[in-house]
Amino acid sequence: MRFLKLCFLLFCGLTLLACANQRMTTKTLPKGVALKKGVQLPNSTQVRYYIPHNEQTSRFFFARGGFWVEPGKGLLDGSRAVFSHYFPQSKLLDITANEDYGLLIDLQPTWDFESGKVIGKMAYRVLDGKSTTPLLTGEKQFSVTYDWGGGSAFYNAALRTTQLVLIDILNKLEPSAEKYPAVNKTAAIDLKDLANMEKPVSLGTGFYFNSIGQLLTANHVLDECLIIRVQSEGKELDATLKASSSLLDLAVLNTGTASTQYLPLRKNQELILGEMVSSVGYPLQGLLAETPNLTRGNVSAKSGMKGSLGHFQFSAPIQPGTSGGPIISESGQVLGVAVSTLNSKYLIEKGILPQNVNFGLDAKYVAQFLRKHQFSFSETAIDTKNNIQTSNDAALAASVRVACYQ
Amino acid sequence: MNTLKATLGIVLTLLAAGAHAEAKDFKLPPIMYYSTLEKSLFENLKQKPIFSQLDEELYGSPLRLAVTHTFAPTAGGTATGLTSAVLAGGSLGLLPIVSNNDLIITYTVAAHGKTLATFSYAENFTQATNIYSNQGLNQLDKKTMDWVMTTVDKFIADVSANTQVRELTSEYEFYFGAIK
Repeated sequence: MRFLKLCFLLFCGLTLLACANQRMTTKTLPKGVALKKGVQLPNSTQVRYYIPHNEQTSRFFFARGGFWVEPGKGLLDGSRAVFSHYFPQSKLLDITANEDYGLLIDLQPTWDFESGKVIGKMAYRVLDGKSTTPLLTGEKQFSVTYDWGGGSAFYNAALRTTQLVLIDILNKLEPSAEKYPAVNKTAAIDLKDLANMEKPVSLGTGFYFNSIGQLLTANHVLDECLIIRVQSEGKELDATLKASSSLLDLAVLNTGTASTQYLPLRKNQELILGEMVSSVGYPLQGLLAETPNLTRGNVSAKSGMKGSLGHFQFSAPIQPGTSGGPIISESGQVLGVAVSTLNSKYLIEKGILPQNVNFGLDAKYVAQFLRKHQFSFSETAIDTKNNIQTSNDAALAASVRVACYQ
Repeated sequence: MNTLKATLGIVLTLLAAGAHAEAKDFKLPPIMYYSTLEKSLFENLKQKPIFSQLDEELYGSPLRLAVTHTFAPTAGGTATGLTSAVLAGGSLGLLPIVSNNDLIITYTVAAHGKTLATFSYAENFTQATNIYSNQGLNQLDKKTMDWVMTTVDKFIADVSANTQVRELTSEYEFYFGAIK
């Protein structure tokens, strides 16, 4: 009898495991959900839907399994399957294109994990392109059992959540190509209406390098931003990306507003081993006060890790959010831009406790980058008489918080 | 007319030969490699002139080449897999789980964590896995690895022709000098 029970349990377990790996389809609806009578499918409305880039590309490497877990791919595939089923004229919004649309659906998805389940949550706003007030807003969620690798789980959660969102839209707005004609242009969409302006997707530091309001920051802070904002002393400005380098991890932003405080580069970009430096940044935002931090240290090595390009090592402590901040000498010249730190977590797991090992991009490459893109900047010679307090004040005044919104 | 055809043929042949030579001479800067696949793939890539500076321990490099693999279920394979899993469970594991999936090999070139280009190659495989074996759902057998090796030449042709990768190489040379 026990043997039979074991057989039965094993049978059920494997069947459930197999079912968890199955992709759901749009043909069935979640329990208790129905389309209103009279709603015709497929719907002919020209729909554009927006999903933040960081959610589309979200993935992480599961080292023990030796594979990538890709929530972003599941989200894109799952939502695309539902949109093409209900709205065959729908397309993921491409902000670089200028296309006609009738309805715009702004999706802000998030993931939650609970007791072996993946919970897909999706906040949504429906815009008709005429008014900034949404026609409809809401949030839906759906949970599914997590499968090995998560490929089907993320897909299924995204599929069902999107399905709930679209059914809500179909039932409440009863859209049609006549009711919402494709007379709006995607190029005219105000990106501020689309982006989640309450929560930036990334934060960093930048600093002015000339008087015409142009500033330097780390390129990784600015990945696919819809809106970039810089903030200092309570003043907030919109900024646009003027030039960037993925290789150097460097970018130039333009605020279009004159800057009275800006930092010069050291003439000939000479770096002296052991010289004292200050690092200015806006670290751990949301945890620390929204005022710039200044830390002190020295140039520990003229090169970075094995294989690094144009890096030098310094000891002034930096934290997440300091990226893009200036590393300045005692006489107030930019010696580099803070770009990275040693992966402490990885080394601690290996029994090594690193201390104050941080890396900056050498100003030599910053100057080359600025010259290549024809930005004006100033250079000053080493001045040993300069007051360190004056230098620090200048660095603090020229530094800003950089926020990227999607 | 025949002369014109012959001239056109020669010109096209020379152009193709030129493009081939260009791809053959193209070299990438030192680049960090990591993969979910066997070391033999790294050794194969490293032998090619374009990847002569590929290194598994170049931890500080902003440039990364990641080679990963994933299995995508096929419509028929999902149904077969489900039936097979039920049979495997019913026979207490005496029968193996037979699965049919598309194996997708993806080569990703990234700089400072930002993906510059991805190249994916897929092939359909049927695998039998015993539920008590420690084979692992993501390990590849010899036949499958043999196919993986055939993707190397396709990848090299594709990466050599990729605009983003070419631009990155030019930018590298602008800041750090010619690639040896």
